[in-house]
Amino acid sequence: MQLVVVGVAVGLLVLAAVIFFFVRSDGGSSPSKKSVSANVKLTLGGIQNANAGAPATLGADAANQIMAAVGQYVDKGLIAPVKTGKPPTDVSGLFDAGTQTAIQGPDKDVLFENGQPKLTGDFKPAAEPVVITALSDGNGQFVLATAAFTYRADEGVDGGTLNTSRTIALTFTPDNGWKITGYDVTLTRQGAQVEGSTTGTAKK
Amino acid sequence: MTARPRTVLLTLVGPPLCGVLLACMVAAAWVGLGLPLANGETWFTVQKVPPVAGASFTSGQPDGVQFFLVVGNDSRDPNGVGLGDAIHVIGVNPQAKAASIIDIPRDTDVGGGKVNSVLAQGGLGQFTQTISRFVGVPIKFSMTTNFAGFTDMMDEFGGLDINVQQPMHDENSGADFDPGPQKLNGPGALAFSRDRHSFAAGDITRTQNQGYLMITALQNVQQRAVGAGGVLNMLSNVGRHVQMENVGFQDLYRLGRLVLTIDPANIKNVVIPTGGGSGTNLTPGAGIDSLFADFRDDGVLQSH
Repeated sequence: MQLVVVGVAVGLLVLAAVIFFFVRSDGGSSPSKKSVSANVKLTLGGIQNANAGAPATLGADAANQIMAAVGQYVDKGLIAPVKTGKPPTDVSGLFDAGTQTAIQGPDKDVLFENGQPKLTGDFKPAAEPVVITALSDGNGQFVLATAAFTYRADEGVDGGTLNTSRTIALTFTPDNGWKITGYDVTLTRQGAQVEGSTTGTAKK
Repeated sequence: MTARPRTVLLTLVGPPLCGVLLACMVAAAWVGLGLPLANGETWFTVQKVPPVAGASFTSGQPDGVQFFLVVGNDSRDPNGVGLGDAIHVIGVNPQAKAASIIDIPRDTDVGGGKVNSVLAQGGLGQFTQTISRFVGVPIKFSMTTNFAGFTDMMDEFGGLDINVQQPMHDENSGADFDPGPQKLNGPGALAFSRDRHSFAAGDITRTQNQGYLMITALQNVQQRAVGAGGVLNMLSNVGRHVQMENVGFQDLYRLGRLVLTIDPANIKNVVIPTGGGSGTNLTPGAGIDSLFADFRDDGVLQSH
């Protein structure tokens, strides 16, 4: 009898472990905790569900899609231009139709790096974990989500080190996947090659 | 032989002309590069990247004038809709970054009795049509909340910092405020919105106070700088406590982001003129057509 009880208990434990492993590894119910950038540790810090109706939780697929877009934004828009010395390419697909004019206008140099000043030394990017706030409507459908994080980079340039910091909030909407429909970005630069600094200034 | 005069001419004019051109180029470079005149000053500054910059954008924001209706109703049932006792038509002009609030006292007779009963009898859709016809503007969407909804919404908002304009001590509404800065919680904000006995003009002043409270709420949101995620949290708060007609959350988000860019000083808050006293069945007063015409053309009151 004792053997039967122990056997059943062990069996249940094994079953629970299998279910746990299955759920975790396939991303069926939990968003991925892995970095979404190939160049910097960029992970999901948490999800806040803002429910206008009954309680709802942003699905793992949606969270992973949003994080993947954040990773592409960082890799293509902030890191690749510094490494290549050229403006970003292939970033417009991350944004919805209504933002296309704005991201190619004056906001371009705030949203993205443009390859200037030229990298002549080390490049050290870093990012804080991304916090997603997701809004569900009265029917429990998620209609908007923001991904907020801070990104910093130290770049070796002529005259020293350029420190760049961006406070970024990207607002997503479901649009054949999740597309960026709005943004709030604050950019701060210090150090070499910054307008108004003494670096890069020669005197007679 | 025929070339001699040209050669002489070039010999005479050429050097001065070259000199002038050279001087012009030097001057242009001087101006263009911002070179200083005094000795020992910085003579060349490399313009690289700006130290601070910002970008904020929301796709799909309306660029035309928007009219919408906000109604407080008197239902004590958390899920009910009662008499429309706080009636406000809001016009927003995105180009002018300005807005106006037209406050309509609940006892106004818009033809067929007091306007507030239309909400209880016909629902928010019919009420919106009635107000739209009365003011003469196309109301895009409307929303209403009741006592419990308003109280909970204000509490979840974190209360409201408001400057009370005059003494408000009224047992009926529960208002008990001295003039000056106050922090109102949900019940306090409801009492502030309901108090009419503290004023000589009764419901007229109360109605104006409701518009003032909305402007103050906008000011509070702006001062708290909640960010994009905070706006979504506020929208969920609204969604839980407000009944909405003809508007989804994406549109509300876009309009909300637009309204957050408006300076509260650019929002006018005007009660419609009424012909009767402060009692029941107030007839529209003299000058109402002029007021509505001023409001109708661009959502902003210029001459009122």
